[in-house]
Amino acid sequence: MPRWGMAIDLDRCTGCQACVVACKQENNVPFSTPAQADQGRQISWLYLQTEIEGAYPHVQVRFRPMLCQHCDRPPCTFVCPTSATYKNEEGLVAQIYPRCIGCRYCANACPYSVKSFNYDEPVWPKQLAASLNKDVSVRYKGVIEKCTFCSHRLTRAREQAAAEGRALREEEYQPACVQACPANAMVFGDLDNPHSRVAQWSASPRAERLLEDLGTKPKVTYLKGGV
Amino acid sequence: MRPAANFALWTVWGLFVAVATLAIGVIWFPQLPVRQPLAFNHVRHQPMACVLCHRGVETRAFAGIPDIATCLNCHATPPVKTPAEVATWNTAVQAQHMTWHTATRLPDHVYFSHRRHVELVQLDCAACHGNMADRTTPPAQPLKPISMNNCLDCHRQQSASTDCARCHK
Repeated sequence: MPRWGMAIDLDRCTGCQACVVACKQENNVPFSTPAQADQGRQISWLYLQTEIEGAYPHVQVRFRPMLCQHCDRPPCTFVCPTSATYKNEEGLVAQIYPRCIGCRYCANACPYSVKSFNYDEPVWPKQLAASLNKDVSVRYKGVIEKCTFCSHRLTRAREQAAAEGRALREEEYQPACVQACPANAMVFGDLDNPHSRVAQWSASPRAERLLEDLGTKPKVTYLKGGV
Repeated sequence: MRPAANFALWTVWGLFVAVATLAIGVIWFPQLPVRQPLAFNHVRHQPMACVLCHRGVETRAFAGIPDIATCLNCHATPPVKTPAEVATWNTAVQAQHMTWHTATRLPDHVYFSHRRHVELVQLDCAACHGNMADRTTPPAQPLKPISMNNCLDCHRQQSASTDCARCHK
């Protein structure tokens, strides 16, 4: 059974936000209005966090793509009263919208602040309504949503592999952000496969995991300090 | 009992009956009856395989609903008798489109693949759709209600995955 994870090389990331756009388009993430943003109510499954290091004149800026860390010990799942969010056997932290009662315990328990609450019904411009991805449901007012590692792509890839009578190849399942990254700063795959790039990147001496001391065991690894 | 009290009692009783009837209706008839443009007779079309008309069930997530062009492959003349049905048929032939209505619907948050169930697991169509092959008229409701419990019962029997994220999208 694979254990899906991601590694992101911050030294390669140029901050182009192609991953952010790809994520929004792939997962029907609604647009937020300036008023919603002012209230901190924007919805984003993946956003770029700007980090400024050093002091003038030796200042360095990094862009850190922030998304659900798909923790091996996810705090959000422990507090969910309805099991709307849970970790499945492949390590993906899933969010089941019809089960969500909108209590927002999970959003508060998440130390990475990567869960978004739908304060309003999503509104789509007419031109874009027809381009919604049918493999992902449109969430409604009153539920929490977050990155799923594009698990619908895993479903599709697994079905295609079964139809061709073979095992799933690791490279067949790639989240939209990884696929879109023009700088090849993101890799995705099975962390338990020592030959996979994601496992090798995650074992790099440049690797770090966010807030690891909390014991959440995140499956997103960041690499930095190489340049 | 005073007339006012009597009236109030009857009002409460009437409201209770109305709400109960509504609740029973919603539980038993969760969707409005489906009326097809023609009284399609599935029995007459045996022993043709379902996939001959419902194309795509073996290769796609969605099952196809046959258009009039599929009917015209076999029917050179209207296969119906009543004047109203003949008129419907002729209109559909002229417009090159017949609007059949889907009786079995899944909620938007469910991913279901016909290919996975029909082609890969060789599940009989009747397992989910009921015995449509024995119908002489189109049913107004699905013959078998689609519910998550039914899905889960079958998945457990077949040792298929019961991971929520496999079907909930």
